Amino acid sequence: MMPVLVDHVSHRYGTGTAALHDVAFALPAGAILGLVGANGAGKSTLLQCCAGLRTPTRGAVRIGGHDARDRRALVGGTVTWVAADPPLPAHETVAALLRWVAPLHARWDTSFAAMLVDRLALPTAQRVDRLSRGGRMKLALVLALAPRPAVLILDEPLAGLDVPARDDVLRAVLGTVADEGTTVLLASHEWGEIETVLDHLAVLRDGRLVVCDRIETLQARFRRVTLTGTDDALDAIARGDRWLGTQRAGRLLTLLVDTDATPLPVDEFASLSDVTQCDVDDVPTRELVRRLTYGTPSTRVAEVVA
Amino acid sequence: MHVTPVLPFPVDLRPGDSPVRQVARAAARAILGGVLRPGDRFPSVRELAEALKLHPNTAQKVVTQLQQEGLLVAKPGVGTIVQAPPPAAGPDERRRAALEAQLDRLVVEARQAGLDDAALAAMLTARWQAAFGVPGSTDDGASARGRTDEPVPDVPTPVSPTARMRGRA
Repeated sequence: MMPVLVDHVSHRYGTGTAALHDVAFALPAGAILGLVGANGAGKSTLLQCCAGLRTPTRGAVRIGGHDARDRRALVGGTVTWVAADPPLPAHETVAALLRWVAPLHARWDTSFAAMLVDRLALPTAQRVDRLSRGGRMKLALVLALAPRPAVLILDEPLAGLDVPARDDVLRAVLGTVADEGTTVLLASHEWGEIETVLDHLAVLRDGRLVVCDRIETLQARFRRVTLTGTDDALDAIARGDRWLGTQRAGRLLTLLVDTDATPLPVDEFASLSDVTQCDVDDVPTRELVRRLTYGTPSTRVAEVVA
Repeated sequence: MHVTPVLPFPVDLRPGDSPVRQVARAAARAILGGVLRPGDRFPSVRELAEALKLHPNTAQKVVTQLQQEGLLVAKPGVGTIVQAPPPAAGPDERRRAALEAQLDRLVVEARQAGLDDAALAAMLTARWQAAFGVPGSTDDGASARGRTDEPVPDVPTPVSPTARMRGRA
């Protein structure tokens, strides 16, 4: 049960490439954060800073009040991290590796580890370097979950896994959160798979944080307004620069409105005689994520469908 | 061997509607239809979370909402128990207004689908009977209960073309 505070973290690689610009957010204990962004947006760099594997150029990550870089505070698997292609010793068998790792962790849960190995159908007698890509990922997850971490950091944990394995992995993570109040940071491109699992969403674009909040707060903040009216009236409204996105299909205009930046223009539209109908509803999270991640200019519906 | 919990009522989560609403609706249907009976144990938050791949806080909201609706009651040391639905004190006006809005959409889409009002009414009656038994019968839910050893047919909710588009978007 540990909150995570990302305190104005910036990071610049030795090559001079800036990966993160002043990223700041606070995550309560027990939250499951989905971190999304295009390739190269800075997701992995941020997660490595959170795991204490990388020292930010400026700022710090605090986990339960401790600096994430302070390994003494984190030793024993309080924070665990899994990335695609996890580095694992090649020549051990799965069973030997689990035996070898267990005493390194203060809170290693042997029966939980055995249950996970069974559930993920990991071949315990197999050598680690003979495991499939998915097998290595599952093993890395067992190694990350069995210490019963306070904070679990998952960088593309579903990559390379088949559909049943993805379900098993997510269920194992959820069981841990339900039992232990583990705080989870999860980067994934598989939005459809992770959407319901999350309660927080953070979007990175070019190393900057676009939003980070509870999903229900974001749904209240971003609203979709659908208008019907004359072509001229809709064209005029669509040309406005107040909208986060617009979509036009015949007599129908859809606006995506960030109500933090622009008050909902319902009264304004109601007073226009050329606008016959104005509905406000939720933005589907999938669309919201896409808009915030890639930031789309105004589009006609044909382009959106294509 | 750990077994993924199987829920005693079918839920088919679709994108585009809040998971809390969808799961609470599916559970209410099972309770009001007699598939889950008073005294039955309701799945725990952990079981709901794992079975449906929901954040435990989201699963907790489903249980809280059903408790507020009087369909579930927390029994310390036992878990959450299905309760006999409270007798309705006449129609709930707030919910009625929400229903009117949904009916507006339904009648327009029925008309566009080439149905007349009688056909739509017949569809509604059939749905009602499938969910809750014959209307007016004191033994409502009995027909659903008689089927509990068979898989409960998951009658898909009619999805409007716009809702489907939204789901894909």
